[in-house]
Amino acid sequence: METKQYIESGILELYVYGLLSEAENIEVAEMAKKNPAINDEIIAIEKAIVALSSSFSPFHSVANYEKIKAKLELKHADVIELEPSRNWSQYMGWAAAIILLLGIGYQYNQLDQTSNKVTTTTIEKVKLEKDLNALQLKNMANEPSVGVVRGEC
Amino acid sequence: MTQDELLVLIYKKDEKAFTHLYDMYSKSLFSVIKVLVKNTEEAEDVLQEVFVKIWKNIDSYHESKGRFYTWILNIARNTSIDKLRSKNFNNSQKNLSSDNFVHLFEDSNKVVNKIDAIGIQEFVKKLKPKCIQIIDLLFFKGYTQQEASDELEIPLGTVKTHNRNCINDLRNYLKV
Repeated sequence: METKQYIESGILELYVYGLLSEAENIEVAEMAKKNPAINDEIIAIEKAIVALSSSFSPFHSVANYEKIKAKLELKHADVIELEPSRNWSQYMGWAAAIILLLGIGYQYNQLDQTSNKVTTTTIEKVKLEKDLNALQLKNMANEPSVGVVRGEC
Repeated sequence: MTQDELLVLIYKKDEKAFTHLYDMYSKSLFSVIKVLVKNTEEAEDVLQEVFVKIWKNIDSYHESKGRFYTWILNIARNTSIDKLRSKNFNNSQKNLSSDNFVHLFEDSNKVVNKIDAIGIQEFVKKLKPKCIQIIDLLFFKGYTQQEASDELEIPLGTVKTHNRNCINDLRNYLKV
């Protein structure tokens, strides 16, 4: 019953608002520690007033959050990413690497094709030389018969 | 995340704790600062200052002194009042008590947490004018019971219970 009266007095609201004297503060904090009902009441009051004040909060810039973090030199806290352009250089690097790789692949392919052509051409050349030799031999073989024909004329 | 869970992270100096701290309380503190300081740019400066103070002085907070939220709320109020008193802040803002926190409603058309906010704002419109006044003076402006009693012309002894009844209406609406 005493707890109920204490809660109903409205002192806990002022406790959350931060309007009590230091002595009163300590008293309420101790009561809350001993009595879960009082502690729960305090938490509920706090929830209500945080919700009320948050809902009336005017817009404040995200940039402000970044400024505070910079002042505190916090580097690893989560950042609300607004500008992905920050990663540009990183992507450029990957893009360059991919282009280079494709380039090398293309060049290799070209080289392969060219050496194939060289091989084919060499084979053709050898074949032609063989043909030439054969023709020359035939020619030489035919020479005497040409003489016989001429002689008969 | 509850306040106790947040405090564990803060004491560990976990940098993620700062993000949680900011998410949980920046709106609430900013509305208090804005009611006191009024000028948006100045209010943003104060908000920065407040969070820097909270983070740097975290070791001086003890649970025996009161709620963590109350501690940061007092930092926000005191920093705002210092700002108002500072030399380079002109006196054009003297009419401190002429309008209450509900005027923030007009400023908060572009508010981020639209859905929840509009609900509560609509509810507040239905609250008794006396309730708006008393919450405005005690919570937002940090008036003492005596000052609120003078301002509202109600007996000193009724300030506390009056405020409690208003907060109860709010809690019934929020179901907390």
